[in-house]
Amino acid sequence: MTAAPPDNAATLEPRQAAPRDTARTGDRPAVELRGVTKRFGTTTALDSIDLAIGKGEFFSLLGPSGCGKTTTLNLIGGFESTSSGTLLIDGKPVQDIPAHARPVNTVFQSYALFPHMSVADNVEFGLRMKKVPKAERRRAALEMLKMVSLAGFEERRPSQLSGGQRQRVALARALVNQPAVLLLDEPLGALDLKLRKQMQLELTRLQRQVGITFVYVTHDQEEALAMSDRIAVMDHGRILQIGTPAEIYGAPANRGVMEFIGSVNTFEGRVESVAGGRATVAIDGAGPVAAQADVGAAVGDRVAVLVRPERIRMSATPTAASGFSLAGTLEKIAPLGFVTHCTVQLPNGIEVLVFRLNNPDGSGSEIFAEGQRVFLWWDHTDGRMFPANTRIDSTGTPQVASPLGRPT
Amino acid sequence: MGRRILLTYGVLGFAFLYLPIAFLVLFSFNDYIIPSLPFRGFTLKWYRELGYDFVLHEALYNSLFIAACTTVVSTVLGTLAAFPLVRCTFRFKQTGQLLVILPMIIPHFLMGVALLLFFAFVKLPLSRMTIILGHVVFTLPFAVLIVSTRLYGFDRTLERAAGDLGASPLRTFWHVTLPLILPGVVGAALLVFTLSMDEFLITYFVSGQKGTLTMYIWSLLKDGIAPRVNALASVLLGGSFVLLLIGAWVLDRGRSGAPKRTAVP
Repeated sequence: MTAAPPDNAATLEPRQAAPRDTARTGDRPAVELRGVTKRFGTTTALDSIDLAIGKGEFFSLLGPSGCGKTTTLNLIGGFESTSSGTLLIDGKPVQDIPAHARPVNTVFQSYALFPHMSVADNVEFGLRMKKVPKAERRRAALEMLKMVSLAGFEERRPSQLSGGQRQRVALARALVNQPAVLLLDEPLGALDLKLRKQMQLELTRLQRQVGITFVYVTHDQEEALAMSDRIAVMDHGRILQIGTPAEIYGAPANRGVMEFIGSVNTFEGRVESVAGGRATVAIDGAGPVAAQADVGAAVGDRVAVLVRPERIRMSATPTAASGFSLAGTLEKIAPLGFVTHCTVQLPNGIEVLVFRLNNPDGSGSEIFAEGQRVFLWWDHTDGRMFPANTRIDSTGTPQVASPLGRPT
Repeated sequence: MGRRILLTYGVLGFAFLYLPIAFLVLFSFNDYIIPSLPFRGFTLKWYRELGYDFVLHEALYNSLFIAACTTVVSTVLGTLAAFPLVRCTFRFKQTGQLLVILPMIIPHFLMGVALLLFFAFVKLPLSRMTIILGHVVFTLPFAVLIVSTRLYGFDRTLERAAGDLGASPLRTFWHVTLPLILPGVVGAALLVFTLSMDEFLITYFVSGQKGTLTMYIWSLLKDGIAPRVNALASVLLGGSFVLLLIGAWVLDRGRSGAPKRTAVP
């Protein structure tokens, strides 16, 4: 509960603009999409996407399945062609260049290792296609295998490797070509949880080491937050927000992003008063709460107040500290190690999720029992206000988001 | 008790399948002009006789030549045909698949007559060429089917991966696709070769002056069963057996190296 205030608007604005004028890298971007649209028949998979990925960046495309993230990857890789718009790799338009001639390599979800070749032959394949001499490419392959901790495995067949090892071979096979951009299509999706965590660390380490731009597609928000320099949150063929993990989590540009990333409690109600950056919102059937007042929020507007579970405070007695408290019944306590998940039911039937950190010294932690009457409150800066009618599918890109969706 | 009955049943089943062949081989070594019991002593003279039979040599050469040509043409055409029939979507695809498979179930007798009429119509003189054409017609479906089964299990992400690593479509086919479907292609070739060597009816209709091995054996049988035929059949059996072993070995190698995975859409 000690994280920095979430809505650090000052850092959000310039960072979002950064990729466009490439101030971040001081160089032309590794990949740039300008108004790229992709249609399959009558359905629009990508709707005029603008995106610039800096050199050496670990960039994630995050979103639910069908959001267009894999299509974006396929366009960059050359496996699909754009319907309209410009696609640049290293500053050069590549729409008319076939996949095998692009300076891009891919790590596939199914690894796609060649089953009839040894591990070394798999890794050498790209260099062999470039007609690199045998001795030289063997040396490069062995070096790469060492880098992914697979030295000594070069004569094995892919069928003799575990899932994690195949994953490393796929990485080595792509990286040995030193591509301008490495595309990764949910590469950890087939691994079990423990191995996935380990590979996350290893991937970020490897990326730092080789300095190659990674474009990483995932639907796992935790994975994206843990590994990326920047994330583009996508839905329905559009980009909802581009930002660092901290920005995406702490200062979501709109309701869609906030609801997709992490857990969130949503309260719908009407703005009662606005004063000095603080708004009071009357929640339907549950009394007033405080929220950060954003531009465009007028008294009487219908809004949704979104609060992260770890930002909600809970006590056995009402408190005056925040100016409001919601009364409810503690329905369920689920201790999950370092954090306890509590479910509180409000009189209007809404269930509120509250995360409480279990401090080792026990300080500041009251003991609660299930069925007990409790009071909830939060700092007004932790309550984020969005227009009530926007859902994840109707929110626009950050550029066209309604004024309520942007922090001031 | 139950095991005993099952065992007897199994032995009888295999005996029914293989006893005639065992007798055929046995009598090829029997020192008597009529292949019948009792066994009168071991001899290799029927095999030696094969060595002097120049008509047989020509027939064998014809058969091998025809089978080899048929194998090359049918396997190449069958492999090429399998790709669109498995991978592409086009109008009348199912009709197309059906039409390719159909010659498999048309009686050879009918096909022989039809081919003879056709060759007469286009004024193509009967020769080894017409036999090869006839054999291609009836073996092609087998080749298409065998290569197709291999293609259905093919993970196309592998081809995308090859392209991603800088291989042009042609090199992708050569380095990735062909090695992986090779067991299917070799299997198809072996089957086509065997079918062509075996074929009698179509060959009979379209052969003209050129006799094949099957036709020669048939001509021998007109004068009763000669021990020479037994010897010849035993030699052919041995040859087929070797081919079978090679085929099994190739298929087995292909299988152990290629874990199947369905393509990711």
